[in-house]
Amino acid sequence: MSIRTLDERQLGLRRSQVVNSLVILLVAAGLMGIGVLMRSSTLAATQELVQDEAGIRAQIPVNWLVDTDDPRFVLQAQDPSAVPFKTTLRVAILPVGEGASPRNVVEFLILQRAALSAFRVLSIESITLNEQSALEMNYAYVEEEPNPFLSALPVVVQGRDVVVIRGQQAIVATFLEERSRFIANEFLFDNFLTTLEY
Amino acid sequence: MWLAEAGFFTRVLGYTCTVGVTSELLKYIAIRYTIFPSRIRTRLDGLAYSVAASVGYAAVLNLHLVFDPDPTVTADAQRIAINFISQVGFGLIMGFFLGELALHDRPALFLGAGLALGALANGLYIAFRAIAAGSGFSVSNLNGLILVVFFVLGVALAVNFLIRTFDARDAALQGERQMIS
Repeated sequence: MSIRTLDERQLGLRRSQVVNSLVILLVAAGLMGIGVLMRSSTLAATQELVQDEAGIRAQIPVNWLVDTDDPRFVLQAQDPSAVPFKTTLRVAILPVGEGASPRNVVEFLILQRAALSAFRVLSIESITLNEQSALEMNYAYVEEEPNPFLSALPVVVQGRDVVVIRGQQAIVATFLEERSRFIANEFLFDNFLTTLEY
Repeated sequence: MWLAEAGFFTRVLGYTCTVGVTSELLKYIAIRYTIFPSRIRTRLDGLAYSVAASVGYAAVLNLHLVFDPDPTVTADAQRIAINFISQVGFGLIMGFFLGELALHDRPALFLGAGLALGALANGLYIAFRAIAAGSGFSVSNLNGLILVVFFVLGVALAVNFLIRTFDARDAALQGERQMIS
């Protein structure tokens, strides 16, 4: 018995060991596949947000905080778990005169946002949104904690506005994110714009 | 991070299929491509080599705490101890399955089941740790250590029971063979 075992060991792995060695890799790949699918479905999971009064409909990530009561915008969704800055998706509607172009609205937004601390316009580009010409403005500013007792560091926020004209209204879709995570989470805004109906 | 707002079972499944399976697979690979099966002569050998692999894995896991530019000594020490104990404890599961396969022929899914069980133990522990943190227990103090010690103690007792049972069965079979011959 012991001599046979020694021979088997000199020959290497037994058949069941070889089979198990292959199967465990398949099991690991299967479990990891489930993990990757779970992660992507959790991150990409969305809920529909409808604002009938303004005629706005969009998909936002699930479990985000929704605010539709603020008079400054039609709707706003924020990631409550994001630190140090809550990732924000926002839609605002501005009344505009007849013949107004997205450029006029962007100039108005620049004046409005100039009140933000260290506000800088990074770029302004023409894009197409839902087969309609639109203007995209990238900018940055510094967000400061208003409560001095919290002793929080200021946060550099990068923002992106997309402006499109609907009749006598300008639709302004906004994405705000902490600078270092802006590119990584840019897809959230892309998904938001893709599903935005106005 | 992406599981932070998920329910308990989703979290267990999520942690099992990501952190759990990765850590147990790495420990398995370290043993499988070095000493398996020639150096495993008893079931306890499987556990011993698995503990060694787990210590190595825990050491790598703790590197970012050791080289933290802004360390909190007490909290980091407790965190290192928690990582060490948990990894060694969960590694016992894979060690048992490897030891068993080194000594006997087992069905094709045997090692895969060991990997899944080890990963599940990881997933359960991390999910419970999150509950403990959310319910007022802090994972960075003594309560976190107590939780992991109890968890690992449970795993160790289960593995001990299995080894004793399998050893007793082998001894009985050996006795039967001797009686027949």
